[in-house]
Amino acid sequence: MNGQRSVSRRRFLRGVALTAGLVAAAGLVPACETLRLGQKEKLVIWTDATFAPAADDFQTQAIEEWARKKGVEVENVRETGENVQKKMQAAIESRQFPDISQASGGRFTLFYPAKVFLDVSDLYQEFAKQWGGFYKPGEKFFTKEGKQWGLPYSIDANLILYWRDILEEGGVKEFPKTWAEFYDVAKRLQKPPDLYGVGFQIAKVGDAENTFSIMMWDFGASLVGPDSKTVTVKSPEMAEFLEFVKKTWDMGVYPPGVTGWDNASNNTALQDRKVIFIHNPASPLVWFRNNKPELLPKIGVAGVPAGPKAQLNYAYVRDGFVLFNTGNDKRLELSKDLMRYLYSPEVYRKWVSLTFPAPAVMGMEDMDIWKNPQRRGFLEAAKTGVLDGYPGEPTPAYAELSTRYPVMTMITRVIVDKWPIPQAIDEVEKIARDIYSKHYK
Amino acid sequence: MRGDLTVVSVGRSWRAWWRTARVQEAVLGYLLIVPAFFFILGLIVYPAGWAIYLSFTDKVVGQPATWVGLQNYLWVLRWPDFGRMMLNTAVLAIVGVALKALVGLTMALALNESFKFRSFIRALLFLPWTVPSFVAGLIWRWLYDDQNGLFNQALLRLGLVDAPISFLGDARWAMPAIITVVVWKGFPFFGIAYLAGLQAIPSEQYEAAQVDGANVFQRFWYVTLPGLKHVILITVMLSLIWTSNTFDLVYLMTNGGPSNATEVFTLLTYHLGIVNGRIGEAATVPIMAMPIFAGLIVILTRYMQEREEG
Repeated sequence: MNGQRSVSRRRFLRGVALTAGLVAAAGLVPACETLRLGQKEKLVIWTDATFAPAADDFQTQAIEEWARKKGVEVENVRETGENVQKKMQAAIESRQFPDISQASGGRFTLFYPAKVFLDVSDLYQEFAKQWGGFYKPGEKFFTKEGKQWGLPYSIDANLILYWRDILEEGGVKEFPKTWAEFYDVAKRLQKPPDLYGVGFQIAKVGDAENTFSIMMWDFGASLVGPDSKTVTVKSPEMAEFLEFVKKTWDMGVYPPGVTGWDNASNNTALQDRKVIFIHNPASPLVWFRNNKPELLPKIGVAGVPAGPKAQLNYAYVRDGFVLFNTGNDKRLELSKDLMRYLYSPEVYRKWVSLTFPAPAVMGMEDMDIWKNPQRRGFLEAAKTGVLDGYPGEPTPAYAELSTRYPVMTMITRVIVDKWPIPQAIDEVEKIARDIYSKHYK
Repeated sequence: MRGDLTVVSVGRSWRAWWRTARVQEAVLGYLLIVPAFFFILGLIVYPAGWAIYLSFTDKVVGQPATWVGLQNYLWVLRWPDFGRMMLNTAVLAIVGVALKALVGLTMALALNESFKFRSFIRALLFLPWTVPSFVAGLIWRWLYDDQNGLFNQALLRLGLVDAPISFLGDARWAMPAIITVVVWKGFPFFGIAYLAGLQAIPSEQYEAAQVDGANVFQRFWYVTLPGLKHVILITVMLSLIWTSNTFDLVYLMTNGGPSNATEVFTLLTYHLGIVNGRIGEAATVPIMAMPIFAGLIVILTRYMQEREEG
C-alpha cells in the first residue's frame, strides 16, 4: 500500500517535472525566435517629452518616417527628461545602452565621467559646416578634451514672462531694471489672494534653481570660483543675496504655495493669471499660442533685472543627442544617418518652428518666429547666456552639485526651516566641498 | 583483480541505493526546489547582499566602487535632517495606521448592519483602495493646490480664509495632508478585513451579552474587540510595514518638501541614489531601517505561527 502510494507520488512529481520542463521549453521557443528576429536591425532611441507636444510628435513622426525609408525597425521611447536621466543611469550601470539618447547639458555633464558616450566630432563638424556653426553654449557643453561627445540640438534660456497689460494699467512704462525695483513693482501691482506678484518656486525644483542661481550671480555670489574647482559658497555676497531673498519673502509677493510648487506650477500660475511675473523658458508662449491665442499679445518677455554686481542670463542645452557604443557598427552607421536626417533643413527648421527653445545651430535666424519680439529675446539669451558652473565651466562636479539643488537648499532652509543664514550657507558649503573633494583629489 | 571486485561491489551498492524509491523521490524533490532556491538566491539574497556591500562603498553611477567602511553610515547619521526623516517616517506610519484602523473599524461596524444600498455603499467605500497611487496622488495634489485647488477655492469663496492655505507647501500642513491621503487610500483594506472578522464572531455571544444586560458599548468592548483582536493585530502589523515604505504618494505630492519637512526614508534613498547618483549613500538608508522591519516581520510571523499552532 505504502509502495503504491510512493510510486504514485513519484509519478506525480515526474509529471510535475515534465510539465515544468515543457513550460520552460515553451518559453525558450519565443526567446529563440526573438534572437533570430534580433538579426534585423532595431535602433533604440530615448527622447524627452517636453512642454511642446507638437514638436515632440513631429520629431517622433520624422524618426518613424526615416525608419520606413531605410527599412529599419525603431524603438523610440519618449519620456520626461527626468525619466530619461534615470534610464540612462540604469543603462550606464548595466552597460545595456540604447543607440541614441537625448541628453540635456546637465545630464551629459553628469554622466560624462562614465566614458560611455561616443566621440561624434565628425558629425559635429559636418553639421557645423552645414549650418554655419553652433552657438557657443552648445559647443561648450559637449566639448571635452578637444572632442565633441554630443550633438546640441536646442539652447534654452529663462527670461521673465509677465502680464504686460497689468504693468501698463499700473503705470509701469519701463520694465524694472534691478531686482529691487522688480519686487517693488510686483508688490505694488499684486492683488492677493487672486493675483500675486511673483511666481517663482521656493522649492527644490529645476526652474527655481535656475532663477535663483542667476539672482545669486547678479549679487556677485557663486558656488565655485572661475577655476571651476574652488568652492566659494561662503562669502559676504552669498549672505547678502540670501538676506535679499528673505526680504522678498517677507514682502508677501509670492503665492503662499510656492514652497510646494513643482516645475509646472509657475507655468500654470501665469496661464491662469494668478501671478504677474514668472521666470521661465518660452514654453508658456507655446501654450498660449495653442490654447488661448487671444491672450498671447498680453504676455511680455524681458531679460532678468540686474543685481548689485551683474546682469546675466542663463543658457543651457535643452535638447542634444548622444550616441552609445553598442558594439554594432551597422547600427552605429544607422544612428549617424538618423542624426543627419534630424539635422536636415526640412526636419530641423520645422521642429524649431514648433518648439520653444532656440536652435543650437546658427543659420536659422531668418525664420519668422524670431521676428516676434517675444521669441527674439530667447534667441539672444540662448546665444549670450552664461552656463552652469559660472563663473567657471560646466564640470561633472558642478553637475553633481546641481542635483542637490544647492541654491534652493539654502533658500528653503532660510525661508521654510527658518535657519539663520550662516547655518544655511555652512550646510551647502560642506555639501559642495564633499562633492568637489571627490572630483578633485 | 581484487580492486576490480571492490569497484563492482561498490557500483552495485550505489545502483541499489539509487534504485530505492525513497532516494529517487528525495533527489527529485531537491531538483524541484532548485528553481525556487535560485529564484530566492537571485532575487532576494543577492540584491540584499549587494546592497549591504554597496553601503560600505563610495559607489557613484558609472564609477567603480571603493571600500569606505562606515563612512556612509556616519554621513547619514550626521545629516542635519536624519532625526526629522526618522520622525517623519514614524509619524506617517504610526498616525497613518492608527487612523486607517479607526476609520476601517468604523466602516466595518457600519457595514455589518443591515440597511438599504449596503452592497452599493460597500463597493463605494472600497473604491479608494482600488485607485492607483499615481492617480490618487495627482487627484489629491489638485485638491490641495493653492491656486486652483478645490479646498482653497471653497475656503476662499465661503470667506473662511483671506489667503489660500498652502497645504503642501507649508511645513505645518504638509505631513497631515499626506497622512490624510494615506488614510483615505488605505482604510478600505482595514474595513474589509474587519468586516470579515465581524462576520466570524458568533451571534450567540452578542445575544448572551445582551441577556446579561450589556449595553452597546460594553458589547463592543467585551465581544467585538476581543473577537477582532487577531485581525486587528495582523492588519496593523502588515500596514505598519507597508506604510513605513510609502514612496509614491509622498513623491507625487511633496517630493519630501517643503525643504525636507516630509522627507521619509524611502524618499531619501531615492534622492541620494537616483537623483544624486550616490549609490553607496543611498544603499545605507534602507540598510539602517532593515532591523526595524525585520523585527516587525519576526513578530508578525511568530504571532501567526502561534495562532496556527494554537
